[in-house]
Amino acid sequence: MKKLTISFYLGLSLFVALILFVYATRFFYDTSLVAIGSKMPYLPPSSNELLGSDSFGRDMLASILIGTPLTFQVGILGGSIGLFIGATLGLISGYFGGKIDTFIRIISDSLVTIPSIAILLVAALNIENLTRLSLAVIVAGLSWMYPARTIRAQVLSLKNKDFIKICRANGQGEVDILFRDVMPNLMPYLASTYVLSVFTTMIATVGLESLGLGVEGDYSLGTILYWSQRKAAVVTGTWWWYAPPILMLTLIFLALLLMSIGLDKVARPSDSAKV
Amino acid sequence: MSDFSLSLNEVSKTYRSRSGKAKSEVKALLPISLEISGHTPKVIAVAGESGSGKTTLASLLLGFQPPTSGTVDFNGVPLTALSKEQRNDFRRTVQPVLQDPFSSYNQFYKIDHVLEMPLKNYGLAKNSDESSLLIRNALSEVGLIPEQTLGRYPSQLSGGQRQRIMLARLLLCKPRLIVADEPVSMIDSSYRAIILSMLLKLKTEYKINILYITHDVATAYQISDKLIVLYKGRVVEVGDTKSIVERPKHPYTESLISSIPVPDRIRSWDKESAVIQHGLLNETGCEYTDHCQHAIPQCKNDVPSLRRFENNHLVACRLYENSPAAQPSDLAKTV
Amino acid sequence: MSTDAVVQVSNVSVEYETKASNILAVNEVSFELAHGQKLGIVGESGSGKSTLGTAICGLTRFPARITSGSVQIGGKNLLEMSSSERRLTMLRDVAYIPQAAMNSLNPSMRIRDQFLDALARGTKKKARAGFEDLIESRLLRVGLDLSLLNRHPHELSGGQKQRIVIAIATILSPKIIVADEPTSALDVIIQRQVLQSLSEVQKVNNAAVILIGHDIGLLAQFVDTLAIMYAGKIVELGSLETLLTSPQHPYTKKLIASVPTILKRETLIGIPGLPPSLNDLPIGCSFQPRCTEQIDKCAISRPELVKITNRHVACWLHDSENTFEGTLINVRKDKNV
Repeated sequence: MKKLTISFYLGLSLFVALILFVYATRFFYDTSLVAIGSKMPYLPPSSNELLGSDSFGRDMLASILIGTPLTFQVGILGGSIGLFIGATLGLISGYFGGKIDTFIRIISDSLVTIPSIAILLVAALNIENLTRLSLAVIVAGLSWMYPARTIRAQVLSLKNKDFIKICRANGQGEVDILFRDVMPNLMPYLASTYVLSVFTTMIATVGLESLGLGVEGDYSLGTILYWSQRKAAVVTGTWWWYAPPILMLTLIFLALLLMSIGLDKVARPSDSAKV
Repeated sequence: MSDFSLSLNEVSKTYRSRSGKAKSEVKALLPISLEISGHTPKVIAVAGESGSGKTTLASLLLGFQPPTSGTVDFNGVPLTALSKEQRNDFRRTVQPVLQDPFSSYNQFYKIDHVLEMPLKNYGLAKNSDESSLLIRNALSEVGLIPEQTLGRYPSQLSGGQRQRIMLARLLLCKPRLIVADEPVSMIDSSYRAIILSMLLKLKTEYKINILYITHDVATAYQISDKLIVLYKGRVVEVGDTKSIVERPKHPYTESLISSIPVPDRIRSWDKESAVIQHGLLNETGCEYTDHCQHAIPQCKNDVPSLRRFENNHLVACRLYENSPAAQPSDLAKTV
Repeated sequence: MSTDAVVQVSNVSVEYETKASNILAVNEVSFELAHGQKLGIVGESGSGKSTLGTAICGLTRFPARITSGSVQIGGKNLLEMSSSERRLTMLRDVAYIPQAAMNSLNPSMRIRDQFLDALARGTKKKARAGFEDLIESRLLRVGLDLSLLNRHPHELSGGQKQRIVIAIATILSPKIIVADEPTSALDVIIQRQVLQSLSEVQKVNNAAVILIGHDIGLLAQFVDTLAIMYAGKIVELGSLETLLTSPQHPYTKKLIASVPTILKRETLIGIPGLPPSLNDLPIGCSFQPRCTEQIDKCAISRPELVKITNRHVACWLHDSENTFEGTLINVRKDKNV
């Protein structure tokens, strides 16, 4: 594989650092403090409560430690589902063309035009017991179009390449060619689309959560923001309620963005060949 | 080694595209009949410039695209109607050598991959040891050293080496017809001789027919027995290579031959200047009219039909309208 | 430097920096060109000919680096100029037409605008008026129709694009034109048209031309002087006629023999073996492993380019008493050198 750029490594380090922070700190900090009433409410940050507490008496540091993985989980799950659906549809659509391609494209193009927030709201409001999985599926359902489009474009450009003709001359069947020869060349695109997919999913998830439509009982980052708004944290000056989740989210998105930029360069190597 | 035949029956190819509101139609290849069979292996050269239809001819013969009219038959069966087994047989029997030694490879794999695949898919080796041996022998046959070639990625080898590996691949497949589309035009001229002499060897030693497509008549002269000259999709001259090159009949063939650069001051380009004219393509007339030194007004309106000379030498030019007309079957048999 | 030389290349060496080591792509190349002289630099891929071409025009970019030598144009060393001075010299005096130049045309600009763009950069004038005549004359000079000015590159054929690139590069009538494989990927008839266009452009102010390629047959149609390059060095240098009729270097002989002709059918002759990898050159003469005429000395020490009766050659077979000391090598167009 070609050299990955510095952005990618920067983003990856940041992402890994965040994960490590969140999972390793559990050993040093009591995360049960996320329960309501563990501390006195509205305590500002101090040596006892590093990030203070919110109106429910939840310890903010504990909340971050518990909430971040929840956001990660939904984001990564949703991103994976979105990529899987999108890439498969893109692969089929691009390679086989014809009616099936037209069909998939019509669906994809129409979904893209609908404001996703509207659908997400409708879906989230109507589901009784929203679980992390169903949330991930809903969000994935609206983010598969971009991977599908990108993968399709790549497959279209690959399928007429000379080496595919040589594959046929070597006796390979169409499906064999698809998996053995087309897929490997899609890896860089799959990687960068994946990161973008996770990114989009997380934003959508946090968006829903901050409207109070997240998973019941999960004090995830978006939900923290929701409650901080509900309880007018800005007005009451409880900055330690909304600042930590915002910082965390910013760092996560920054990491994902850097990785995506870094991978994007790999996905588009220059074709120069002269010495 | 059973015999085979690949034939074009009044095959033509037209590309239609719609850019914006305008529909455009390009007649890449006008109806042509050709019969290539395995009786005596030959090298048939197809010469022409870009836009002549030579690449289209190659891709039709290889089954890469369907013809707009007519059928391409393999052993009497149209390509579009082949059974799975017949299709497999066809793929193995009619093999390509492509122009670009870079894009012919999947950069993801080492070059070994392109040599292992046909042995595996066509069941040509019983086990991996035999496969290894066959591959090493094939590489040596084409003048490459297996140790210095195997295990490398395409980008680690030169264009000439990559093209030779493609020839080694052909040795492994044991086809009956090789369709070589400009196999040396992207290779340094000092290397071309090696590749071309290998192709010639494939004919003489391995009894394989070769269809050699090129824009360079000089190389066609060196290795081919029969020559087909294409101009804007039409066959303008066809017959024995030697007689055509030494005594070309069609004005376009003459021009093609005089454009061959020879490092010899006797035959330099200075003598004639290339005719540079840009006119509208005639719908009904001879396509070469605008560039032709022998053109008369009648040429713009009447498409000349193929006329026959001795030895199945056919020419399509009004200069020879007094010679007997040729039938489509004459063209088919000419090669 | 002789007074009638328009460009003088002295001991130019170019290195490529790689992780492993530095590769010497061009090894102390020297030659001089007079006005109107047409030099062909012939070599296989990897011989360093393109690298030399860019170095002569002061266009060497990382990871390539010029490690020694000078390129004198009009009495000043191009390689030592400030970047702005060099850019101006480049635009006015030296035209460089890179390989696959036709692909460098801006796909979204009309041809006329691309000419204007080049003029704006070269003359620092923004006014379009007054340039129309110049542009038209240049286009006609390369044998193209004026209607092409309104078109976009994708509407034109390869040959037409290449001729336009030649016209644009030479719009200010430079003294030196360097073209790297201007006809690769073009059909034989179009190759002729493109070289004819180049010829027309050269005639205008008797520019010196350096034509770089791998096809000696093709180059021979155009140039009057030939330099044969192998593994970064010039191995034979002389007038076209001399080299074609009596090549001395074994590599030159093989190159000439490898051109397929239609004069008679004969066995195709190639050059067995491969050019050496530049970071692993053989001890002694670089061509020795592939040479069928070698003597013992060839494997031990590398011959330098020396002047013999009517040309320069770097080969132990021709190590005569006429060794020419010094670095200046001037090859004139006329037969008696």
